[in-house]
Amino acid sequence: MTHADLLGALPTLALCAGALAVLVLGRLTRRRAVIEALAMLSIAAAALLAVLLPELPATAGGMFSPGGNGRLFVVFFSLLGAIAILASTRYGREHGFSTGEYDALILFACAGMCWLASAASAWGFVIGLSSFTLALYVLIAFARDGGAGSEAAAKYLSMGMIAGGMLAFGLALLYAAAGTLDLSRLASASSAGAAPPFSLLGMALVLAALAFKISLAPFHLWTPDVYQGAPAPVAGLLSGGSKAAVLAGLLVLLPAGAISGAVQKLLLALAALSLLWGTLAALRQTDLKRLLAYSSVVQMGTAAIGLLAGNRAGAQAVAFYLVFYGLAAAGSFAFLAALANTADEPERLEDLRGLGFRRPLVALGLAVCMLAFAGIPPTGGFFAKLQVFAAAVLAGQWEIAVAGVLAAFVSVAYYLRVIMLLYMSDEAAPERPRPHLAETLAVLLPALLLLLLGVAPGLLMDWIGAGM
Amino acid sequence: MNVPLEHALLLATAVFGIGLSCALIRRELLFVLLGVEIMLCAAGLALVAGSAAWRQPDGQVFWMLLLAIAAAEVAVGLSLLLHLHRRRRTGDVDELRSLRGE
Amino acid sequence: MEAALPLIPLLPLLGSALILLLGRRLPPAAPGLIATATVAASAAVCLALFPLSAGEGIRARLFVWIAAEGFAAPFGLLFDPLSAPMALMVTAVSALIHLYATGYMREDPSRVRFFVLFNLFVFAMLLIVLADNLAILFVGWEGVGFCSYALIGFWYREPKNAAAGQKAFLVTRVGDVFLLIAMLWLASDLGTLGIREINGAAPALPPDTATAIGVLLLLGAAGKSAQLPLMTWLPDAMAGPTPVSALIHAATMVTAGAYLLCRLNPLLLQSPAAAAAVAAIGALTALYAALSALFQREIKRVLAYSTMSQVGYMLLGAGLGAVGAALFHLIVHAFFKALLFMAAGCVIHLFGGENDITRMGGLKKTKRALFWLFVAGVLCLAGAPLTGGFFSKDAILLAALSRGGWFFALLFGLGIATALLTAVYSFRLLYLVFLGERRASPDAHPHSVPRAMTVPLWPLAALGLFGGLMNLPGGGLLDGWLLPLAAPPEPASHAAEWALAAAAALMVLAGWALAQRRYRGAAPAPETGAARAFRSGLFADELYQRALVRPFKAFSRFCRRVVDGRVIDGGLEGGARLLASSGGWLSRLSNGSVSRYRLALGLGLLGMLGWMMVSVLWP
Repeated sequence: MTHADLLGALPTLALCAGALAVLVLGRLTRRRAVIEALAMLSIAAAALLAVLLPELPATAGGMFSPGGNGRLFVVFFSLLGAIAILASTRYGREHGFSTGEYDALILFACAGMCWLASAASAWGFVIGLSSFTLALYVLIAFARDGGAGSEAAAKYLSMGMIAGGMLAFGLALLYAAAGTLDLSRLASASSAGAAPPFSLLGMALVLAALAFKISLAPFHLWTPDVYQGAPAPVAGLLSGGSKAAVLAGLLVLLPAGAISGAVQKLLLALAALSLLWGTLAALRQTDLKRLLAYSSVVQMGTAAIGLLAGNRAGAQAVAFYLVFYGLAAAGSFAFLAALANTADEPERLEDLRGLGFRRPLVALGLAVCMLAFAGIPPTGGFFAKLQVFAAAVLAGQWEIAVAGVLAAFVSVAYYLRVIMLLYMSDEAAPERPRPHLAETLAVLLPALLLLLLGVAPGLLMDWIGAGM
Repeated sequence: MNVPLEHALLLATAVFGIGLSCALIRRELLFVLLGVEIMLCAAGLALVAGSAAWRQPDGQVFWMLLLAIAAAEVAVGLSLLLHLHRRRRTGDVDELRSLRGE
Repeated sequence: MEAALPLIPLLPLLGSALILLLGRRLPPAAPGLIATATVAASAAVCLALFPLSAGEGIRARLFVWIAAEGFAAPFGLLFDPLSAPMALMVTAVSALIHLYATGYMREDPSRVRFFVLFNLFVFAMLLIVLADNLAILFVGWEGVGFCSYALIGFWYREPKNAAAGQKAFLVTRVGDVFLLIAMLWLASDLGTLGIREINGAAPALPPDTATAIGVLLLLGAAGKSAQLPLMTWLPDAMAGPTPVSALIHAATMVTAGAYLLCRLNPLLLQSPAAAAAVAAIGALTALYAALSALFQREIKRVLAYSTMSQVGYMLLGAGLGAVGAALFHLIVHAFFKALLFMAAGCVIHLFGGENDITRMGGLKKTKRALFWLFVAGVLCLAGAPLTGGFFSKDAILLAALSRGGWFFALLFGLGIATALLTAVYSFRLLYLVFLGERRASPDAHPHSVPRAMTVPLWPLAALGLFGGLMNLPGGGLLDGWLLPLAAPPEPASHAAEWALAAAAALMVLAGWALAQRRYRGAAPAPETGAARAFRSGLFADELYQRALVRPFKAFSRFCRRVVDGRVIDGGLEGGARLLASSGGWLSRLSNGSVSRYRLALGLGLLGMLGWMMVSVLWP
């Protein structure tokens, strides 16, 4: 381990150090505010280090590439972690989340996401993926009433571990075929390598496992149940963070030009099935969390279109897409957390009625997130979809691009239904808590960023372009 | 003694198939964990075989890393299993059906 | 100093945002005060920057709004000799009308919405005035259209008001489409939408193109400025609150069309035919509207038709290339028409909400101050010698007269006839409202008129009466000011000038005499058939109803019943049912059972392997 390696690991180490400090502090004090402040401090330190460190090495220990887009991902996942912590300030207190452990796990999860997103080798990939998956298993079980959370955690765990086994064996086969653990060469080297049928099997297993993680149909069935049972801030991290991290990992695993033949056809089938399945099912949902689950299926199907394009434009579009998607998902679940009371979250669509007037700020935030999901300007969602579709058309895959446009078109129906309910008057609605500053910030921050991405998408595109 | 890579991978795939079937078919969380352990063993076999075939140590190191991660996963899994047993008196994940659509 | 230019439009926008966000939490008077203060501040900035606009003027480029290959629309503002006086007028008159509105709306429960829209309107109007390219101008153009729509239908619970708002929106939209076509044409031919660039490059346009674009611009302007044939929305627009009528439908928005034609005057003059069409439409509208105004019975409708008629004069001026005269009349008209509308609002208050002038009368005895203010407005409108209206109208008529040729002589004739009619209907208004016996029904309860509603009338009266000083005949200030942009009017012989002045004065006197003979003291005679025809604006509404609306409705019915009902609905509903039921089935697959999820995982994996095998074996 050299000096440069250490320097490259510094931003994520800040998150880990923060997590350990929070764990220790959780034993010493019971004041949540202190612990949360420390957690936010380590998040800020990580983001600042990622932005300000003058020269980050191309790889750290052969596992990660902290330079390039690694900086962006540290900032982005730290932001998602900050949103989760802000959103659970009151939520955690009212639901009796044990101090220290909860915030520490969020920090660990963020570090894992950063590692996965900037993985350079299969080691880094597995370490990153497992770190945040393990943290999320526990975070999901931090239950509202105990029952729902542990059920969701058991479901996620029993499915996720199988997927983890598939991923491990798939990577092992790819390694055996390719003779390298270098992530960006794994796919191409293995198909040219020693054991073609095994490399194909390995690729299929890896893709299936990752499709499970980002809820591509038909591997998405767990998603609605787990979102519904998980505490809202955790569901935000699960939905926004883990999917964005896996997408970023896929960008490394399937670099531009490496997608061809069988892999392309597989991904195409997964994307098409996700668009269809997610869209049809989302139209019928009456629960906001389940709606967001199916919407994530469609969103990930759309992102897969960008991967399929297999060109530089597609890769950049996917990077933009995962940022937009993560922000919108985090904002939506932060809304649920901000208006949750000890009994429930306002997750039934009927619960949303009239909140646009009674809780205008957070409702506005949710409305912006919905507009972004639907891809309506002036939100970042519009540019994200536009770029993905443009990249696909550029690569000559206009069929799947048309399917994506159609899915986006239909999706307007279920996203706008949420907005309409928000701004319908209803005097007899049950009282919801008044969100305080931290919670309002957790909803408005992603909403504002989404608007910024919609008005000036060049800011992020330049960053992504420079890192790729 | 020289085992061709294909043979070793075939064996690993067979072991993986057994583990996967176990994990997919058994209803108790405990057996899902067991199945996953078998899948990870298959992965280890493939890694070591690949490492030997390519004459590189990194596959074996990767296998040790996977072992550590598997241990952590099992720790979380077992504690969740205990938690479920205490709250719901069941280890059968299929009996957990309170979270569902209409 | 120059950096302050964006403040002119941004201050009202800021006010609008402030009121929107805080309006409900502040004391009831606050929204009006914020609105008035921001607009007044904008006027002050305008005044402070005014000297900078001389000659080339100044430009502010805020950011690039649209950038595509080979085409850019920067978000820029242009403060030059044409836009500066216009902006000053808009902000100053708006500030006074905002002040008036604080009194007028003081008890309305929807004040917040009103002032948000009112300030937003000023912002949009200033975008039109200060835009340095047509794309920005169009944003403002649509913005004022929207605000106008929302403010006409402000009391939307009354279906009539909402319908008037929709009518205004739809009719002006027809004009907007033509403007948009003209813009796209210019962008594709000249590769720019910059106003200066267009005016500079205009001589390069082929004559036919120039004519076509000129006519499209005319139609666009006609929609916004309520000129023939898109004039029907303006009288109905009086359904809005009176400050709205005063600001939007008298002083500012309706003059946007005339301003556009002045702004693009060099382009317009490339085509003599298009310019002549502008002048002819202006003169015809002036006459038509004056005739209609003569027979109106509602005070605000009289003023609405009169506005239409006066804007017709401005178009006549623009078509003649007399930009100075047109702008001069535009500004003076804004002063006295705002005065008349706001005074009319006071009158309506004093008669307890009565609108019909045949049931007014005798107000002079109780409200002397208001009477004299109204007299000032009427004198300006009628163009009585030495008032602002006299000089501005004369400048346009003189331009028509000095062009020569039978066509322009005819337009001049229309103009002078309109002047006579204008005098008649202005004095008719004065006599019926203020003089004679009180004819109001005894159970009408006069509302009180707060001070905020009378204070703004005084400066407007002064500006209207002495506005002529801006541009006295024979080398006025405004003409000199506009020299960098527009050719000065051709010097006419003094004899012609004096003869025209004498003729105009004669028209005013004749009009006064006619009005006095007919309307002084006597109760209005019952309406004849011809009068009814003119009162309905020569059945223009009826005509459009029969020629356009009914066939369109019939076609829509056909589409709804046959095309939509049978063909599309059948297909769509069937499709939607299919979608919904399959969606239900698909989401029921997530039934909470992990076994099923694992089954799907296994099957999915098998499917993937199978699919992979297929794609390997048959690539």
